[in-house]
Amino acid sequence: MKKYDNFNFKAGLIITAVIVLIAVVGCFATPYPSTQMNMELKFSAPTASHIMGCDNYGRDIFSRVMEGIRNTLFIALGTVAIGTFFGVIIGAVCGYFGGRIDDALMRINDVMFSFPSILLALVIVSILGTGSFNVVIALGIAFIPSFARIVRAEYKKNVALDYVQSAALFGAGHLRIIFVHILPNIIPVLLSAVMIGFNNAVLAEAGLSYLGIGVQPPEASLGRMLSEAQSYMFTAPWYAIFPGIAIAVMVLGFALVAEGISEDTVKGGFR
Amino acid sequence: MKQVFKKIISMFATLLIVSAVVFAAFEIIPGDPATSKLGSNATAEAVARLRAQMGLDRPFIVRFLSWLGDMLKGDMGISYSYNMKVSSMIVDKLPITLVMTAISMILTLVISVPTAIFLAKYAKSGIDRTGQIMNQALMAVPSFFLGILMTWLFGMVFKWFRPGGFISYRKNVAGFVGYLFWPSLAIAIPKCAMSIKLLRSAILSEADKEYVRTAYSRGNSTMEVLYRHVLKNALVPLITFWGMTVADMIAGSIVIEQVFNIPGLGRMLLTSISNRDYPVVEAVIVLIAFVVVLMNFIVDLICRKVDPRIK
Amino acid sequence: MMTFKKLFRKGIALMLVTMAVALSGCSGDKAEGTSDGTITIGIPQDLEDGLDPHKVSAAGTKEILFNIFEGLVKYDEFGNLIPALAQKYEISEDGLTYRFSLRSGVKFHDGSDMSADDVVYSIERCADATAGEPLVPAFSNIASVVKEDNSTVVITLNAADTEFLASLTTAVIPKSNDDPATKVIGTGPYRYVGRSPQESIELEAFDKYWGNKAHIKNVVLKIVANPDAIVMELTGGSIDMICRITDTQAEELKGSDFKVLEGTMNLVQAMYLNNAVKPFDDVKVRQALCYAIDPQEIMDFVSGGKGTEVGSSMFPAFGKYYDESLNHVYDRDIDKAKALLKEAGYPDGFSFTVSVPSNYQQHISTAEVISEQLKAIGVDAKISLIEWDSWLSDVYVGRNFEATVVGVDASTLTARAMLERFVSDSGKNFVNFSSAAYDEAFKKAIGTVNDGIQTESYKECLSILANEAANVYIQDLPTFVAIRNNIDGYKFYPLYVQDLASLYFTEK
Repeated sequence: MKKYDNFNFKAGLIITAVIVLIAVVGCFATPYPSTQMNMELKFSAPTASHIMGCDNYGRDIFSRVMEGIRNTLFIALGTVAIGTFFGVIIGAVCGYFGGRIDDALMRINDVMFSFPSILLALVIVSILGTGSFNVVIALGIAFIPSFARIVRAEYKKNVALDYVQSAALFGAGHLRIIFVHILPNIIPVLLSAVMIGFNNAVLAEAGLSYLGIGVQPPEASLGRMLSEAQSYMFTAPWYAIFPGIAIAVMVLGFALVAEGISEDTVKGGFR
Repeated sequence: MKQVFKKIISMFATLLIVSAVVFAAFEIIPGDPATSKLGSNATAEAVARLRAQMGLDRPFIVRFLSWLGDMLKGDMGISYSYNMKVSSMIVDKLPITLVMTAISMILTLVISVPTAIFLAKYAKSGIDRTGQIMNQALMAVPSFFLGILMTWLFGMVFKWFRPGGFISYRKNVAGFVGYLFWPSLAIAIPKCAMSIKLLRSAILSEADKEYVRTAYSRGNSTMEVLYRHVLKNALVPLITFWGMTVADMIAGSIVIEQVFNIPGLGRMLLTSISNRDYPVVEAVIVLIAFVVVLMNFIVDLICRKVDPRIK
Repeated sequence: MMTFKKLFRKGIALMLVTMAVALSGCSGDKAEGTSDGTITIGIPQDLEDGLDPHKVSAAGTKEILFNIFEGLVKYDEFGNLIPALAQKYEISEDGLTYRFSLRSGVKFHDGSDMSADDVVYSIERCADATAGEPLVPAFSNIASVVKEDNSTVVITLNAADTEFLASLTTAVIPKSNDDPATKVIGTGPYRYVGRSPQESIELEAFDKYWGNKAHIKNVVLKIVANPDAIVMELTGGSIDMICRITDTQAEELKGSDFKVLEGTMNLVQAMYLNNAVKPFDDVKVRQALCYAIDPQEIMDFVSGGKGTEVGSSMFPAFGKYYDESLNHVYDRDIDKAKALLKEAGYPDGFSFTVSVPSNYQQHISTAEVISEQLKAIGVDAKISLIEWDSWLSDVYVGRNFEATVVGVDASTLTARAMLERFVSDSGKNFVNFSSAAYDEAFKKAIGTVNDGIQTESYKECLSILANEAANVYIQDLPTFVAIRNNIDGYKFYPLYVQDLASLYFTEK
């Protein structure tokens, strides 16, 4: 493994670490119960005890943002896991073997690729029904094609290289070559793709929950908070601003890490 | 030429599979259009009668083939909820989405190309660094959040436009374009940031190549080198990116339409999905897929033209 | 005939508005002619179920079509049935024969005269039972519809039905119209001009209307699909009026160019429980929920404390049947709720799912508050938002649910419309409520022509629903209408209707 020590990588890592920390802490405790309602605190502006203010039920926005980050992060994690797992398998098989299998699978891949991922997720969710679990599946499926493409291209490149040829000469089986010999060599590229995947998954989840699909109330979701906050832009602008910033910061963190990785990996190309 | 022909064939094959998949997907969806149409007071007989009338009682494959045949003839069927021709509904909505995408794309090009050249020219300077940081931040803001902020700031505080004041192109073309400018800007900003980043590094990597040094040694000025050689080559990877961006913009408009209350294709798709208005949903999805596939095809053609190395 | 004195018990502003209308009506200047100008009204959804007045079912569609179509009789703003296309009517002593004298000089929007043939055609179209249930279920009772002469129509019934007249609000459409789904021709004060799906519907005042003509010439009904954007659209100037905004949105409009009128929605909002599934098949569990849930707190959160509590399936506009004492059958009592749960065998509570249609913000908010309140007795209520369409097919028709929060209204202003659905074998009994005593009381109510006995029996039905805790009854939701300051004349109806013809501009 290379050492990544450029600025982007470090900054991204710090942001991501803080986000993950918030999410993990949010699993166990939030400053206030995220669904606790209080009539007197309706639309209270940010104060020392409620640092992000309160919403239309007098619920603490900071606690809800914490919960929202946690939910978004889990959905992104599930999405990327599904996308990577199937993407690597499909991409590896296509790239390594080529020929008929490659043609057939890539044709299906192209079909799915011709749907923008949010549209594909929308259709899948309307079949499966709403709920965070279904959103994970829908986005996961929608993310497979892009992973498959990247992995396939890398395998195509590697298959022609000497080390693979010699591994084959030494009698290594296909599976062994695919997973033991080639896979480690494409990890930097894959890692960067995973981080970009996180980035896109967070955006897609936020978009879907803005449309009311995904995490169900009273549980908090950043996109839904944004949607609700639109009614109260004049009286309670903080209601929209904090969830929005939370999404942007999450995306920024992942993007910077991805940037940092590719900066040190892709030699000669970009600088 | 043979390659191009092959591409066209595979384009249609892709579309055929898309339409089959979409058609099948709505087979297994819960909720029945007949029940939905009749509402809460429907009896079982009435539902059965309507199903027969709508042709829903025929086997799947029969319905698919007849639908496909009609589609090829340009007949997209009749909407369940509007009793209108789906084709005329789409013709009505398509300009909204197309104009919005076009404005976003123009904004992206007009802003990103000069900015990227500027940043590349002053690479590693203070301006470049600041620009890159701003760029990175803008890339991270989801366009619908930008849309909400813009509605609040420009619509409600500065009153530069009327939030939700969409004007149909049939009534007032200038007003129509004027309103769509804002959502288009919200869509364009993150894409712009991405273009700037890609183009900047593409220019820099080109500038490092042998032929540039040769050009300099022949006495060409920086400007000449940049515009005549570097930019032409640096744009090749960007064309692919922009092609994909168009598809992304069309999809992204589904959410943005909701923010700005625009009755475009995205809105029509969302409501048709919840109304189980299958003829509309299928037509819209196939249409979007068609646009995406077509974009890929065009990008491919352009790349071939610009860069003869691509086979 | 019913009157609803207690209709608007709150909202002095509203009373003033109504008076203003009455006054201007007297002076006569507003009643004359139509002023130029356009009003843009926001509506939450497109008229998605079509424009054929006999076939639409969505309340949101019907309330608009009210302005385009009329029946022999129609409702006024107090819920009284007044003659419309019929000038007068006589009902025979035995309640079997209805004789209508038609108004003369009524024109359809296409310019043709309305005739007895059109009336007979329209009623027969809705009574046609060859393919199952007729379009208007009450018409299955019709023995014959006869055109006696050019201005008289006689309807004969199989059995007396005190509530039959209400079904004659059914639209009269021209016999010559071969395609009512696309050719929208009625006799109402507004005529249909055109539409653009998901964008807008345009209406224009009908200059040959038989009655008081509409004041404002052009009406644009603009679809505002995102409820969270309503305030921005109003203050931004895109719409002049919108109905049914929430209390918080109304507050947001303070100090703007808009006035906010308050009325009631005339429906029963409740957490409807599927009485046939565990654990709600146990009356003790249902009662425990009723004790644990505090409607007043829900109203505070959801509607700024402005709703009207209901304790059974009847809203206050039905002054005759609405019984305030039923609101106190279950006052909040956590200990009692816990004790009941223990008796029922759930000492540690249980968990269930509330299905809520995703397009109704008030119901979603209510479910959120309920879920929070139930935590006090250890019951975990999960919320699942579903599309309105899935709600219809899965919850309402399929009865495949545990609990749901919705508002149930009356399709006609009759007690029967509210209460028939809880009869054990009723096709509309989506909560699977089953009580022999209830069935008995209901049968008694519809079987009599004696008003006193009928009222008594309906009231008994209501108290059975409350005592059996059929559902967790909450409130009749308040409704807020935002109107630009230069427009007046809005009337609240005790049923789902938007009367556009009464609106007028206060300034030039």
